[in-house]
Amino acid sequence: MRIIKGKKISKGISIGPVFHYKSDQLYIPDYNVDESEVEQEIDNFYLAINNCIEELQQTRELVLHHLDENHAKIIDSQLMILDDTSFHDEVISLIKNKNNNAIKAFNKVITVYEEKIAESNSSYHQQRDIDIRDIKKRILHHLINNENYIDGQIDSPSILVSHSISPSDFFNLEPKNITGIITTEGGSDSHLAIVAKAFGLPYISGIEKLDLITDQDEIILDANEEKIIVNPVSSKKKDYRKELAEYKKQQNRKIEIVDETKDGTPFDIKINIEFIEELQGLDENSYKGIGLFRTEFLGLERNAFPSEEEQYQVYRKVLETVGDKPLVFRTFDFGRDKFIDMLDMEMFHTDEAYKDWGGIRLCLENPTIMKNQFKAMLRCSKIRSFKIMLPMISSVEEVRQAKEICHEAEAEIENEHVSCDNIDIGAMVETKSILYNLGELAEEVEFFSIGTNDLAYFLLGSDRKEDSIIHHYHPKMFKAIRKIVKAGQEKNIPVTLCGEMGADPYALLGLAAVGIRSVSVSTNSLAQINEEIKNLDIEQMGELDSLIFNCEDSETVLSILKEYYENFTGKQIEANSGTE
Amino acid sequence: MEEKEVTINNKYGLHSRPASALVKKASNFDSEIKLIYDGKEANTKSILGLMVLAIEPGAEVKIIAEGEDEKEALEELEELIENDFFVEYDDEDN
Repeated sequence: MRIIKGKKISKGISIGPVFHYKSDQLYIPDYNVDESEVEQEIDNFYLAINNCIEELQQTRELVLHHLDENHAKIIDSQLMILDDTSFHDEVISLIKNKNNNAIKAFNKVITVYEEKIAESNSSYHQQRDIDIRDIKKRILHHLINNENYIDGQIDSPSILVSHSISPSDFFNLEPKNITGIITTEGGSDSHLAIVAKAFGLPYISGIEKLDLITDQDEIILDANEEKIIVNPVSSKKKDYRKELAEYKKQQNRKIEIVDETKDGTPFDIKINIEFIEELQGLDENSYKGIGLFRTEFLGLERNAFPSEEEQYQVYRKVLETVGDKPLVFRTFDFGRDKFIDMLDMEMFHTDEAYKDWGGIRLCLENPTIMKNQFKAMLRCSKIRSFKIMLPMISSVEEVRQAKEICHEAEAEIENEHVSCDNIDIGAMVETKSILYNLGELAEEVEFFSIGTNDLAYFLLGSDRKEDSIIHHYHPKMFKAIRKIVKAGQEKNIPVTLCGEMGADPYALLGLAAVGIRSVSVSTNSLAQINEEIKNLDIEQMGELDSLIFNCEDSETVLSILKEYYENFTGKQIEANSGTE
Repeated sequence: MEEKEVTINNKYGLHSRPASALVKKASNFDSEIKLIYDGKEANTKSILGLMVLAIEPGAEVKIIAEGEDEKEALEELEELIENDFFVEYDDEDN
C-alpha cells in the first residue's frame, strides 16, 4: 500500500482501476472504411479543410485589423498549406487506395511532413514546425469533431490519470466512464476544475510521479483528504466502499431552492454556467434558472470564433436542456487573455506583437463576430424567450451600438421573422465609468447585472489572480452596489448580482442589506447559498448598511459581517468557504 | 524542359513566408516546376513540399520547369529569388 499526497481540486472519493491518458495524443481512429464509404470520407476531409480556411481567413482579418499586413502574412503560409493540392492528393490517395478513414489518412500524411522537418534539424526553421503543428491541430479538430468519428476511449468506469487534460480531451474520452481525475498540472480555477466540479468528480492535482500509479491497480482517490492510495489493503477498500456509499447517499439528497428569505422577503437564486456540459451534469429540478450563461467557452480551444450555425446548435441545445426556466445568455466577453487563449495558435505565443491584442471592445470593433452571435441567438428566440446580456459596458453608446448590430443581424435573416425588440437586452454593470451614467443606462436596457469580480478590479484595482476576495468586503463595493440597486429601482428594471461575491456567506449579508434580492452563483455554491438565504432574516438586520458605509476598509467590514453572521446563525464559518 | 541554378540569399533561408511567395508565383504557370536541393526534390506548387526541404540561407538550388510556359516561369521565379522573395524583415522574427 502506498499513499501519494496531492492538492484537492474537486471533492469526493472514487475507487477503481486507472486509465492513463497522454494529453498530447490526439485520438486517431485506426479503422478502414468500406468501398461505399470512401466518397463520404473524402467529403469529410474537404469539409474540414474548407472550415479551416474559413476560420483562418477570419483570423487573418482580425490580425490585419489589430496589427498590420506583415503579421497577417504569417497566416498566409498556413492558409497556403491548407490550399496545398499535392498534400490533398496524398491524403485522398490513402483514402481511395488504402480505404483509410479521413482522420487516419490525414494524420499519416502530416506526420511524414512533421518527421521530415524534425530531421532537417535547422534552427532557422522552427516557424515551419509551428505552422504545421497549428494546422495539424486545426484540421484534426474539425475532422474529429465531425460526429461520425466521435468515439470514447474509456470503455469501463476508470479514474483518469494524465499530466494535464483539457476539457475537450475530457469530453472526447467518454465522461460517463470517468469516475475521478488525477493530474500533474492544473489549478482550482482551470477549465477542467470547473468541469470536474460540475460533474461532481473527485479531482487531485499536483502529482509529479504519475508512474507510481500503475495500470493494473485498483486505487483509492480520496480528494477530501487530498490523497491517493495505491495497492490498498482490502480492509482499507472496505472502509472506503462504505464511506463512498454514504457519500453518494448524501449527494443524491435533493435540495429545494427557496424563493424567499426567512422573513418572507422574495429572493431569487439562479446559477452561472460556463460550459454546456455543466448543464448536462445537473438535475433539472435542482435549479430555478440561469442568471449568466457564458458563451466564451464556445471559442476556447477552438482557435477561432465559432460560426453562426455552430452557435445556433449550442444555444438551441441549452434552451432545450433548461426547459422553461429563465435564462440569460451573455455575449462574448473576451478579455485579452481569454482571446489569446482562444486563438491558441503557437505563433501568437512566440510573437511579442500579440501581447496587447484583443480587449473588451473586440466585438464592437469587429461587428461580424457580434452579428453572427446575434443571428444565432435571434434564430433561437423562436424556440422560447430568453434574455441577452452585454458584458463590460462602459458607456451607454456601447449599448446603442450593440443594439444597432443586433438590428443589422435581424435584417440579414429577415426570412426567419425574428426581432431584437422581442428580446430583453441587459447590461453587465462592472466598470467604474458606467457607475456615473446608471440613470441613462437604465433607460436603454431591460435589466442590470452586477459583475462583482470586475467591479472590484475597476474600483479597487484588485488583481483577479491574487487573493482578491478581501476586496469583496470593501465599503466602496457596497456603496457602488447600493447605487446600482437604486438606479434599477428608479427605472423599475431588475438587478441581479452574478459574481463570486454573491457566493460568499458574509458578503451576502451585506448585499442583502444594500438591497440585493437576486443572485446568480456557480453550481458548486448553490446548495450553500440556498441554505444561507433560507436562514436570512432581512428585517433583523437593522442598520447593517449604514454600519458598512461608515467603515474605512475591507477588514473592518468583514469583522462586522462576521459578528452579524454569528449572531444570526450561531455558526462560524471559514471566510471564503463560499467560493469552494 | 528548362532548368536553372540559383542561390537562396534570404536572411533565414526558405522559411514559410518566402516559400509562400514562391508557391504563389509558381502557381501562375501551367508548367510542372520542381526544385532540387541537396539531392531532394519538391514541387514548387506545394508549400509543404518546399518547407520540408529546410533550405538554408546561401543554399544552391536547381529549378526545373517543364511545360508550355516553362521559359517564362523560370524567368519570373529567378527574378523572385534574386529579389529575396520581396520579403521584408522588420525585426528579428522570422
